[in-house]
Amino acid sequence: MIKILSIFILISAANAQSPAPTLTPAQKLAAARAEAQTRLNQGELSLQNLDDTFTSNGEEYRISQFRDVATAVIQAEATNIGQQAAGAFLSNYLIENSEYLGNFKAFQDACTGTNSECDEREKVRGEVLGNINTLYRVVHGNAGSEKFETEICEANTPTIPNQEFWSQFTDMTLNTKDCRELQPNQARKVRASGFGAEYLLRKTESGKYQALLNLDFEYEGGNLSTVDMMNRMRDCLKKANPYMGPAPGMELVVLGEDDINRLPSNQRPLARKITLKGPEFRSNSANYSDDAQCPTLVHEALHLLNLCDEYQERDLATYDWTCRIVTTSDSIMSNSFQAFPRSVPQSVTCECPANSKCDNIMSSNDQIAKKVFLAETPQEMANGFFWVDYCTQGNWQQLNTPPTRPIERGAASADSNSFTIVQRTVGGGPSDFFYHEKVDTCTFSTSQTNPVLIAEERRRFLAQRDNILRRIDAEPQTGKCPHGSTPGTHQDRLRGTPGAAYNNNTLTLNRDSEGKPLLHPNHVGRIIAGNCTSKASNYRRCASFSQKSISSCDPADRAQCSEDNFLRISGDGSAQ
Amino acid sequence: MIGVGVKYIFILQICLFLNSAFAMTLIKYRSMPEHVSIQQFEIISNKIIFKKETNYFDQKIDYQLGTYVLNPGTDIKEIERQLGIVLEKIKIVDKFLKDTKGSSFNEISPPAPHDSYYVLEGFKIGHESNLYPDVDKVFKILQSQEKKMLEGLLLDQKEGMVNFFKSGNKIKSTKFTMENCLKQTLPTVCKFKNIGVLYVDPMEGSK
Repeated sequence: MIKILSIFILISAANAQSPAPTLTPAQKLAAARAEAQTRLNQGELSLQNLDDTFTSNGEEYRISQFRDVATAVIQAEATNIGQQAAGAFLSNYLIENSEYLGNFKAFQDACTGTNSECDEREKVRGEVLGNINTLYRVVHGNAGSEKFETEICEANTPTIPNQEFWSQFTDMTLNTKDCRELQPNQARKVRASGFGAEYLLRKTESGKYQALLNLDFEYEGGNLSTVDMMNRMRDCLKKANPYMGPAPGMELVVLGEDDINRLPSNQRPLARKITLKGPEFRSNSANYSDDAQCPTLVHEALHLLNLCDEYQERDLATYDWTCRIVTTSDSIMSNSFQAFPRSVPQSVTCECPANSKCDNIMSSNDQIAKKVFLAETPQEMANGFFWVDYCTQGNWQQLNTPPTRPIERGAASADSNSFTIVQRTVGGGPSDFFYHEKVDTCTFSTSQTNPVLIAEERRRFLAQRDNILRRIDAEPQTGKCPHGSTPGTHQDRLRGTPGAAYNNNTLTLNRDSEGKPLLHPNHVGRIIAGNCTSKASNYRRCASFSQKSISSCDPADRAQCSEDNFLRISGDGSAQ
Repeated sequence: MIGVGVKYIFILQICLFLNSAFAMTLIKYRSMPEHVSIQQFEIISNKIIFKKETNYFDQKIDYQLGTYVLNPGTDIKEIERQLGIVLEKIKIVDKFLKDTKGSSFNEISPPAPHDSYYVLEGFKIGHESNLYPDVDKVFKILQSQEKKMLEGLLLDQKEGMVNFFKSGNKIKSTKFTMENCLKQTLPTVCKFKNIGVLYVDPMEGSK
């Protein structure tokens, strides 16, 4: 190690004494190596961020390009860097040093330099392999074969201990005090170990629970600053909180720096770093895309309170999470895009150009035309890709007389595997309107081969069908701008009374909350249970399947996770 | 100079690999909760087939999906050469990890969850990889080439029609109704079974 450092110090010194007017690539690299070491020593490059870049002689470099600098980093920081960072660094380190990775004999045979040069290369090779072993242990643990998991749901301890992070938990002893019910105005810190987060759980005077998070946004890309994202997150939570949980209610609060400093020092939750990314990114609990809106942001923030995913993962090639219990009762954790607008009041404006179909209908006194025009579509009623996966459209047929309803149940097969929906549409105007209808057919089919998963998919199909049919009967108003109008503003609060209003070519669609909270009882139970491992046992068990493949989970254990067990029955002796 | 011989052998290995290269696949991949977005270039001998299952990665607005053949003028040898250098490095690392650790290149540093990444011959290259800029450069060169559609669809936003093509000819036109589209907020994502997903923004509402 000392010898290696000496070599590049000597190289650097030589460069400093006689700088060449035009540097060769090797000289540039040597200069960059010295620059990296200097900047690391001066603290300009962070050892915590192994992918830090810097510029030397007009070219950009990463620390990981420098074997010797990397050695120092690895020795000093191996136990402190995060798993993800270590994995990325190891990968880059291997690529940068791929010339040293062949088998020993081939490596020796290939060296055509002098003996001392070959000896030197062999030493370097030994050092590279040593570094790889060190890094590999950081990524995979001492066993060396643990599968690298990018996100752990409901794990009791992280795979890789981050000393700096965990040492701050020393004042938190996991004993019975964590299981005592909080009294009004009491608070305690709770860890969300699987997500590397911590929150302060507080009970208010009125008995409502609050979970306080300390989020530290860090900009990496995209069109949103850290301040903008903080404001967006707070705005979303302000709108969502009144509808978050069943009585007595649950509030989620993101603290600012001033708020943190006002808390007693033993109640300050540790900061959770959230990286802001560009739109080419699917948000998760540690990284937000700049186009993430309220449903996504609230969902991701709730992960930091120990809640896990319940939606169907479709990208099974990347994430084989087929063991996940996919719930059918909408919640912010199972279907955020549908649950959020149904729980939180929405107000949408749509612009209707003069004399357009929209303008004609909304300016008229024809109540049937308006009803058909403003009815919720089957696509809004269905969950996610239900329509694309199972349904085919019929052809539009003109009706001779105006319909009485905008949408109706059609026929259903005896085996429940198929049902139809009659949908109507309106056109024409300004005074005479004409109507069309079509019959769409939805049929269960699956590409699954595992019998358990087939049965579960069919159960979800039937649950979705029942949900659609209930909404058809209820005839809710659409929350989207109807055909012929252009979307204007969208707000997650009511502007006026529920229903539709039309003024000056602007159609305003107000939808009140449908009354279902964003979370089910066991979600709230899990947040409140915090570090007390004897509470929220059903939720803990069922959520633990969230990021496992069907081949790696215990079928008998999984079979215990009915939707009621997962979401409503605490498993601690009484239903919540 | 230290290691000149080794470097020579290393480059020779790459050249040998390139001479034996027959087909190579480069995919850009993005995972979303409800679907995946894929653009794929397959280099087969003297032609490049482009399979576009999303317009998400396009450099400019282009509402079409399908299978294309790239302009014959594309410098395939140079594309193969650049990708071959990246691929050879990965293969060495992958073999090393398999032989010594029972692991693999894809296992040690999978792309960050939900981030977009490249897949070169099955090897995943995420934004955090030092190889990403090189692959990204090649991908953008391929994207910028003239292409001829073999089959697929084209959304005529002005007319509100989806036109379907096969063997280079239009075979069907249907009204674009957004019935296949997700999300109430724009940009919305419209899925066409067995073809792919279109990101559409801005369009009129549903129905």
